[in-house]
Amino acid sequence: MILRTGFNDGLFSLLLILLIGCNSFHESDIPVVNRLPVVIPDYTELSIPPNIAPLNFRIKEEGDKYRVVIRCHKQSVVVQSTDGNVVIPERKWKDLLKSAVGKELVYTIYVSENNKWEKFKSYTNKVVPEEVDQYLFYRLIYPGYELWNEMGIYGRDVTCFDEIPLIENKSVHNHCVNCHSFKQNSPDTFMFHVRGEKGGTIISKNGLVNKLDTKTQNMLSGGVYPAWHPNGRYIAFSTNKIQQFFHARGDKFIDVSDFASNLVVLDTKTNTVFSDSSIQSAEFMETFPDWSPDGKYLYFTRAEQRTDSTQYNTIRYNLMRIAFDARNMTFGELELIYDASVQNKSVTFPKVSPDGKNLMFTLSDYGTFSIWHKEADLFMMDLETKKVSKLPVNSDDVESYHSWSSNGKWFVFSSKRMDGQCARPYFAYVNNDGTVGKPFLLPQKDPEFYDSYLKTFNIPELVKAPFNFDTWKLVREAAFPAKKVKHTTLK
Amino acid sequence: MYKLKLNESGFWTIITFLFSLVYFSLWGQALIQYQNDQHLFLYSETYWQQFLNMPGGMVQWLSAFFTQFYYYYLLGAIVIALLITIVFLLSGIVLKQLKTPFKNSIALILCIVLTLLLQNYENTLLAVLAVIINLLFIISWLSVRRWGVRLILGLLSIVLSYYITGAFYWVYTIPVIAAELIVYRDIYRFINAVLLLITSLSVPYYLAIHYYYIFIEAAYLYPLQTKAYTLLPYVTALIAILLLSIISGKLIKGVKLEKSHRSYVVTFLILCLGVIIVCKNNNSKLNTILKVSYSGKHQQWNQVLNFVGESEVNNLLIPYYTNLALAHKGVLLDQLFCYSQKAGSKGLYFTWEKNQHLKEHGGLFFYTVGYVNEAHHWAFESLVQTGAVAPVLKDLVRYNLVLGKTSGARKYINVLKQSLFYRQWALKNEHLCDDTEKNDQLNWIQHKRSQIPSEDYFMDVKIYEKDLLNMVVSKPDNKMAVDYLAAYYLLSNQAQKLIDKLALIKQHYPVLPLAVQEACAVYAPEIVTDKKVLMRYKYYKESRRTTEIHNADKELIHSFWYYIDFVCPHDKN
Repeated sequence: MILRTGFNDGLFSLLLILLIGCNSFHESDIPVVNRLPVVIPDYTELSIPPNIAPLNFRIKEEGDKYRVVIRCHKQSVVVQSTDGNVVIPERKWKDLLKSAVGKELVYTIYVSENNKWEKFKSYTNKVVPEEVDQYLFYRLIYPGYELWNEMGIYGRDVTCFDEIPLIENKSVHNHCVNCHSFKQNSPDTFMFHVRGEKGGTIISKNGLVNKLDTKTQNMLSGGVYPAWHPNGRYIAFSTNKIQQFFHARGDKFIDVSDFASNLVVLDTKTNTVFSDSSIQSAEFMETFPDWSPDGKYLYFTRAEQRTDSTQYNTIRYNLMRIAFDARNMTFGELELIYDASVQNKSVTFPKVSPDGKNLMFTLSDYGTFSIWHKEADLFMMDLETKKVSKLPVNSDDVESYHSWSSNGKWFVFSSKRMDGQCARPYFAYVNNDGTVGKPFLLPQKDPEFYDSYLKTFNIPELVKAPFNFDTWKLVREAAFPAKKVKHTTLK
Repeated sequence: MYKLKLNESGFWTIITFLFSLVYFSLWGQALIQYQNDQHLFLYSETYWQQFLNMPGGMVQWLSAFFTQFYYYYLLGAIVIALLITIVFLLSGIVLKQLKTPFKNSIALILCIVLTLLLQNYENTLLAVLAVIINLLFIISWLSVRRWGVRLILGLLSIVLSYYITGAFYWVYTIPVIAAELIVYRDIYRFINAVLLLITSLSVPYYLAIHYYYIFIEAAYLYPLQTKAYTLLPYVTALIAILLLSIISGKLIKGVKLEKSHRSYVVTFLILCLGVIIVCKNNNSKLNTILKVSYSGKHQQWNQVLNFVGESEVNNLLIPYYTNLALAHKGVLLDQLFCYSQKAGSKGLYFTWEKNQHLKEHGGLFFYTVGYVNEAHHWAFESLVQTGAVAPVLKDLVRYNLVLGKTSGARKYINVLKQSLFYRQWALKNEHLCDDTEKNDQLNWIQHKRSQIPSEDYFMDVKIYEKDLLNMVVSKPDNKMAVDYLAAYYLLSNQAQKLIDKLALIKQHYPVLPLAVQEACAVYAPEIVTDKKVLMRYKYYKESRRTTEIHNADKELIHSFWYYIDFVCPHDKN
């Protein structure tokens, strides 16, 4: 792979002259192919943030020489390749993006086979002014059934290709680590669970780390799916009784279903949990909590309590919310926000946008385990009008977990569109008019990275910079027994 | 004529190489093939990076690199022989620098310890390579005399040795600290020894907190603690040998036995001792298990039956693969009792145990009877448990192609393309991921798809009878499932249930298979079509009354009746 760069029109022309001299590359004589080139990942016609790492890609067109010119007004980057892999130099890319904010990058791809060059139709990437949060945290795990071996929660700096571990399970006797959650994209307040012997919920607030055993006598299980209250004091948890099933045939290998579930709230100040009959009822199964940005509402999904005769594929969750008074720790009125069951659909992963105007969720045919549902798609609800619209980012395969950037202009979501088994993180831009742009895959240094990478990117969460956490603090705390939380009754 | 002149070291170097080569070529085939199936070296940055997050990752990477040559077992034997010979040569240099008497003998003992270590089927080349690297560090440290340089080199080597070989760094640090105290005469040797000791204790501690983020105790042991400490005694022995060498070099200074004939005698005696130890440790039962499971995994059914033969190895892999071989050859119900079935119905399949390392084997049963989704389940869990290795990846390619998930299959093919020896296989099969219509026409895919149940339901996995019954109800023309269900009833002593399913069996067999007829002879003699079976049963009953039955001809011992009376581990009905 040979890289060449130029930084103004003059230089670019000089470079082209050089190329012409060396390789019989006559720009004017090159026939134009009147279609877009096939590039993998599909990085054509995107809106991209001004701080994203180089969008390296592979040109999937027959040829023995490849040339890519990325231009914005007077600046350009030229990348030349013999195998079709286009690795854009980081420094040049950053400079190019800096000058292209609010403008478009134009990509022109030339392919040569037997010294005959062809030029493909150019495509563009619009560089929008709003940055995406610098870190993307995810759990890397084999997308398996029930076993695990190596796993970890990592933070990827999306402005480059660096990846830092938040916690790896080698540090906690190979136990499962899961359900990482950050308070409103904050790098200072976060939590995750460590399962198994000596397990617990590790909570880090402004550098102080605590390990809690969130299971009390009154609960079905310890905390499972978390959601931080914006004040950083409370964490809403679902508590679930879960079982896996294996399909004898068909597209789905496994199904996971709740036998029962409830919601509780953990007060991290007093290490107590509390709940309310509205979210801990015997008639319903409540799960997937998420707070409104003002902390006044707790959103969650709810289905009728299953019985012995309930078919797993008839359990459908609606979107609910309940008012919450953080000062008095009291719950208020319960509302049905979206009745998915009447459409024979089920809601999972409700996430309110940082401005509180929209709510994104996943809709699938049934149940809570949309990550294995091919039909699972992302939808957005306007919380004022309650109007629901299917997002244009969906594919024929699974779209499931998603999270917002702190500025609400970007969101990241998991999609299994590449191979049907491994989730990959995609970013999409939310325009001022509420429309959503074409999604793009988290870029990697190696354009062929995803082709053979066997792990799945689980729970992608965007986090602001700077993230300077000392992992050793987490490891040390994980070694100690978890502190038991107490159950408290609401006033 | 040119006369080849060999000194003593040269002579023993050749002997070491030849002995290792002959030993691993003749007796190491099963072990080498097993190891090959447990590792897959990939030429990719992602693969390399995954080794860097634990101490000793680099030596693990190197071990995986050399293990890739096990693809051809003779090449594997050559690699092992070469590495052991390198250990002999390097330890010879160390011992020569220490002026240790009997240096060839001691070097040979080191090699014998490593050979013994490699005999354990779980042990890789990790220890051999770690010893080589640490011997190189020791040689470089011994080559300097000035205390300051010695100290700096010693300290740097500790850090490097720990980073490259992990807890194997003790092979370097302990002998070096001992040598510092014993070999050198200067006053600084005490300072050096203390500083070396402090550094060797503090490096893992520091790196555990600031780099690896692992518990402190793990930092001092990794990767020695893996595989249930099987490496630990060997490594301790290696360190002890080196330590004794240093001490003996000092104590028996000046004794020039190297050039004497006595040295040859001592070395020869040690070599003989080594041969005896190594041969005695050669476990023929384990070899049978490894050979059978290797052949079974690679679906070499004749080989499986050859290796099993008359062996009475108590390991579930043996009946599991024997029965799979019989099923694939279409003679499961004819020859079921020709082979040992001491495990009863448990010899037909593996039950799902979370922590059991049998996932790589268990999926083949499900694939055989048409539960491709479940076969995928087992194969994938095996990948999670033991890592991406070639047999599992190939299985996953196959399963995904049958299930029409070509993009899933392509991902596994892309992994195999990054290897040296499986690249060709991957390239050859890559086209199957492009053309789904063409795939649909392939006989093996068509056949397997025809076995998949027509309706979806949840697998039980723990009660296999239920899964097999569901299958034969859904796909009565699935002969493999019918065979296995019948075998299950025969082996679990539930012949009455078998009789109830005779109509189903008859769909696949114009003449009832031998084992089924033998069961019928007991419970429904009117169904038996082969009069010889009834006569044999009569003869069996008569023989049984006498004590001669165990010495009766094989036909009687290899019968359903004998199995039920004397072998079956299940409750008698």
